[in-house]
Amino acid sequence: MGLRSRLAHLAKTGEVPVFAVVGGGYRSAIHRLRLAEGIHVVASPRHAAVLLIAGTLTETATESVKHVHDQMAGPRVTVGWGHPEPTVVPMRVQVTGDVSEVAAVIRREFHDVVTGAIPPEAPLLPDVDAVEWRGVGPYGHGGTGMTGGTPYGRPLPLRAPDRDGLELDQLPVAVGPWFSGFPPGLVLRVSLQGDVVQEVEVVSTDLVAAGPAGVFAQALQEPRLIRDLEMARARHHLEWMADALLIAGVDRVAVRAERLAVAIGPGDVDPVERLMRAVRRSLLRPMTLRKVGVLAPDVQVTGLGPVARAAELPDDRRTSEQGYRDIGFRPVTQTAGDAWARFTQRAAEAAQAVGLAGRAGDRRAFGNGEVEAPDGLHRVGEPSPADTVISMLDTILTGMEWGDLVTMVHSLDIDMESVSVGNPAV
Amino acid sequence: MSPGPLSYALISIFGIAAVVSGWLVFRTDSMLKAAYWLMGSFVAVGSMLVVVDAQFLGLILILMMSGEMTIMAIFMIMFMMNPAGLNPMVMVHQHRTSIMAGVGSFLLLAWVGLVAEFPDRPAPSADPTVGLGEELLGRSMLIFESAGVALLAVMIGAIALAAKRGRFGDAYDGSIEPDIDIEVESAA
Amino acid sequence: MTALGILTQVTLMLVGGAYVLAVADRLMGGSSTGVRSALSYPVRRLSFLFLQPMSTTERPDFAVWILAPALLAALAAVGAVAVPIAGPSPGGDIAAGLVLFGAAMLVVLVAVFMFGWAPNSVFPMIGGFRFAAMVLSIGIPFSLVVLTTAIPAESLSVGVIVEAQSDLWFVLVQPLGLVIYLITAAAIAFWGPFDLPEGSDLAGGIVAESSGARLAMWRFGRAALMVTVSLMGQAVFLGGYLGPVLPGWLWTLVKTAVLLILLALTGRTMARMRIQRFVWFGWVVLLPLALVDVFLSGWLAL
Repeated sequence: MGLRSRLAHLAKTGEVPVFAVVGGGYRSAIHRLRLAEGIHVVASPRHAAVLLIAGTLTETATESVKHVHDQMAGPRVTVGWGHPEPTVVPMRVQVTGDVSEVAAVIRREFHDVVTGAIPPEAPLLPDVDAVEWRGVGPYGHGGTGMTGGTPYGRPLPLRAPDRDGLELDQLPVAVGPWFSGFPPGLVLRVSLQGDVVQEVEVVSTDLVAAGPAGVFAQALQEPRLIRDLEMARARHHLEWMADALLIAGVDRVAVRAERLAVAIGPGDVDPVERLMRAVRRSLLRPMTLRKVGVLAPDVQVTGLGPVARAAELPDDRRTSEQGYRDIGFRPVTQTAGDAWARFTQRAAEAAQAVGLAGRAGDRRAFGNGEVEAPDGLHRVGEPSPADTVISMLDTILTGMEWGDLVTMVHSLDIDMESVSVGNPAV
Repeated sequence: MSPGPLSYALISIFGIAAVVSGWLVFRTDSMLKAAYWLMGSFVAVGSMLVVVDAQFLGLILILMMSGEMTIMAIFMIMFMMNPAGLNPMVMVHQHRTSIMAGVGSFLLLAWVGLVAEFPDRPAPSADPTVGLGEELLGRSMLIFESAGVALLAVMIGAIALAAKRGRFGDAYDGSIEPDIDIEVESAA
Repeated sequence: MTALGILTQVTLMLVGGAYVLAVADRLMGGSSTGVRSALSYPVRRLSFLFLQPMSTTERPDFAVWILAPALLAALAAVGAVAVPIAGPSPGGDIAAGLVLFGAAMLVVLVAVFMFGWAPNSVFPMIGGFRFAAMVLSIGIPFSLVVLTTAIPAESLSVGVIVEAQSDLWFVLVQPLGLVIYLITAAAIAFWGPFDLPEGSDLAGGIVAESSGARLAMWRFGRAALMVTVSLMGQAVFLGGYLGPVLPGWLWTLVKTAVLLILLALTGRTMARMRIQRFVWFGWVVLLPLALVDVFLSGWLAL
């Protein structure tokens, strides 16, 4: 056996690095995939061997997914999960089953491509420079001043004042759409000075198509069981907490939150409390979230669900539903309004939701055109909470350091599937 | 103890490396490489000091230069945000004047080094660190104590700079300069 | 000890320590891996990494991009050379071993910054910037606490410092020193709550654009750096190769493993510190504490 086959023999049973492009309707499924054995969902496509395209994407997503595919180094293979025609990029295999089935398929494809049983996928885009060279003289020297012309088609960065009054250079960069710290499909064009963002512009949000209507979308049309609504809310918040913990680098507690999101049942308030204790032990508040992302007082947060309630606004449509009032529902609020308050707010709402689900019996709620979904208030015919947040992003994110910006965007819990569609997809 | 041929060879090699990497500072077309060629030059000088048994001084030189060259590189990037030299640039100005000044000072220093009579004053003790300590707290105490006080003032200033309150507000809030609305009153 | 002997010792130490660290980190990750699969995890992962090609970006600086991981591993080795592993060196120790270690650790800044700058990409660049801010903030406390152990021993040579602990380990004399040392050493090795350059809010940061052998070399360099700082920590605070029954080198291995696993425990269980918070922490908390430690150590020695 040559060296390559020896390495392949060792690598083929190892953990599969997967880069997941998450489309409509598969957000929860990717969370469950993180728990699958032998699968590691990575943040950068360069570290991945398998590109998993899950859920429905729009036509505008084609270009970016092809870029991500070509960024993957080494033996690569594409697996599709659960979306109908038309496909965005050619996929070796498509799966329509559940998590265990797609995990088995991923492991099998990885095994085959590493050992060479199937050829690795070729790049989809031609390998040419994005912009042609247009400098003057050798190395672009010999033009005006210190550089000649615009080498590589890029002009020198402009200068702009920073918060201390210095005139520093700015780097305009487009981040997204499959950046691991952002909701899938969000593209922000930012002007960076070092790691501080001075300007933000939301470029595109329509890469992720809406998935099949979840229980909250159905609740807009007809009353649904409170038990189903609250358990879906608890699972949504627990998955959100797992993502927040991953972004903050607390992998161990993030896995606990993912497991709890799968295993939780009505009335199980204790496991949520234990999870919060583990979160407090990880020092998430003093290290990462304290006083980060406090919204200015003139920013309208009504209707944004947990974001509003974390800023001490008891704004919750569930108080006007008879079914909820029967089981003694009171809105939970926090005082600080920062990212930690939003984290504890969602944890408290998850615990409350589980308790409500245990007490709800067969009561129903909503069904008259509005619903209090986990990311806020949805009304038929009005902009969704995600629309409201996205319209605010360019003002509230200015001046933040990059890590704080990622924390802030995540704490606002933007549901990309409901942007300009008007229906929640939980 | 007289240095053996290995020491002479090492000093020569490091000396030539110092001069060559110093020259490369001006030949490269990328700012960060210029900063780190300069650091390479300092590392060569520090290695020469280690070879002549002034280990403490040589290693301290390398230690300080790593931080300082990186600060220089960061300042270059701050004012010309240019990852990996995407815009390659000429790093030198006023070619003829600077070449003449450089060659002139090199010749002057070389003449001083060859012609001047250096005093014959052996170090007070065999261990260079002990000797350095006795010098710092003996003959040169005034110089180094004043430098020490200045360094302490710098450290306290850095602590004050790192404190939360920025010029325009709390650092957590981004400390952004507030917009100033200038009202123009028209003569009515 | 011949040069070849020292080189072999250091290489074995770094490779073995990197393996132990990788296994410990995997077990701390929280996923449902058993001990057996955790033991084979580093081998399988390295095999996959060597199968991948080294990725390129648009107009990177190739020379610097491949030099930086090699420099990182070399600096870890240089730092480890300063520590006597098995016993007092017959030919005498490096006279300024502590300064050699300090210089090697602070040149890590150059390696990491170059690695972030080379790929011509935003996230690695931000990771490099963050690390520069980190090291500038904790460089002084790091050097100060390491030097406080030289005060009672009256020498900068690590061998002499270890011998000076034959009555009492220095950690019992100045426990504050070990605490500050562990925090600053973890920050220089960008581990655990201080892995800001490689943070998940930067999609991997400085390694976001790396793959293949380059990534493998970088991971090894970082693990070797952790081993080196643990090695020096146990030499100057926990008594090095001194100990009652077992041979010297075994004591060194045990104590290094203790510090290494202690640091590995913080890897995935503590949240990452924000960069502003870290800079504030380094200047406003660690630096005054390090100065206090220096005063205490000097007062106790006089």
